[in-house]
Amino acid sequence: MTPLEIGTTSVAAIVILIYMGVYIPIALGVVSFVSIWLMRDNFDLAMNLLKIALSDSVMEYTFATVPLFTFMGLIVSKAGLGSDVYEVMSSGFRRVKGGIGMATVGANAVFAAVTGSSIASASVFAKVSVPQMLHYDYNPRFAVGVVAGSSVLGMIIPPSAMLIIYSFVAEQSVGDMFLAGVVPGLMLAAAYVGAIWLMGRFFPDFVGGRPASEYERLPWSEIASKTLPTLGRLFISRRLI
Amino acid sequence: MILSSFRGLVAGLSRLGNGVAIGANVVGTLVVLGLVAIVNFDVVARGMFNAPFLGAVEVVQFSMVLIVFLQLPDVVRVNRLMRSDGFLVLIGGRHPRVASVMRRVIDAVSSVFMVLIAIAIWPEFTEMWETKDYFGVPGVFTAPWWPIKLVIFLSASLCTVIFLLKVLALTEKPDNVSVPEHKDTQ
Repeated sequence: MTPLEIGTTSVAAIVILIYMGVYIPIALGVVSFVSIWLMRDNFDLAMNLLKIALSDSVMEYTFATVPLFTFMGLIVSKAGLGSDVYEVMSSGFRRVKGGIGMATVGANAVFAAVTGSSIASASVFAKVSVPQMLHYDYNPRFAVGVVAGSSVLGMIIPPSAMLIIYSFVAEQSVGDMFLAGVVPGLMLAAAYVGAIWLMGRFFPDFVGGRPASEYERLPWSEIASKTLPTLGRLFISRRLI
Repeated sequence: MILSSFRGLVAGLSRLGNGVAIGANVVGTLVVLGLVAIVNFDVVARGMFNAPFLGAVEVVQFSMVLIVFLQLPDVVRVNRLMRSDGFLVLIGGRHPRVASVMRRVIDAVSSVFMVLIAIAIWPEFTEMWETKDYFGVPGVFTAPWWPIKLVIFLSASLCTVIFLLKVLALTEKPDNVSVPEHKDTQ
């Protein structure tokens, strides 16, 4: 086999192995190992590259942000910032069809500006807003889809662990990458809100849900107490960047 | 008789391996806290007192390796190593035995890969141990290489053991494998 064939086969093999349920790091490592072995017909070379990949690539200074962002996401979600923002948003959107979905998107956008990873936002909002939407008889597929889709915002709106890794790979400035993520992130959030509005307008059966008459309007003091910590956190991080 | 003593051995080994993995995870998490402290100290000292912490880069690099490889065995233990388990769950609904065999094969492959890592890194460790090689800028801040290599070696070995134990223990109770150990409380 030529190296090109081995390369294409290994890409296909990675996709197949990952979908079969092999652990992702193991799938990537095993396929790379085997393809280098086949390509050079040299087991020792494959072992040496494995050694280099392990001990040297982990020591990249830029990657230090990843555990810190994960840590911050964990603290922020345990502190309940996500559910606070969500409550405020859902009291604001309560009159619109699918408004609770829009609230999820909006709260996700705000939460994305606090945390850096999509996994953190997905896990927070799957726990906070999916039960709420099911409670108001929204279609489960709609509820889960909104959370899954809008948690992508966590990756685009800065700070973002993914953008840091990307800027390291592409050798670009991290600050520039963050600035470049703001507008697309906001556009994406707006597009999600627009799509939910259109779905509520034209496919109300798919969206489901019943008009929310029993929502209480939050008093201003409570809105302040629920949003100010997040805003403060945002302001501090902007100053530091 | 032989089977039951074999099971007892596996159970005892799992308890030991799990205990070590949990301990390593605790240490790794403390290293994350240390990383927070170092980065903050460096930023404050650099910005306000114009006195940067000279070894910051080396210490951060060092702690990165510790974080990743100290936490890896426990991640493996609680089945949180990233995977896409949609296919396994689908198959498991209809053919539980097929899914359990697949899980076992995947864990076996993973343990082989971890053995390869351990074998690849061991000569590095012995070499660094003998030469006392270091990284960083001499005279400013240096850190030895050998603890890094040793941590990677020990972590890969522990992961191998845990993967193997998963392969063996699965035969007894194949259904509890995808249940996360600690549920989030929110």
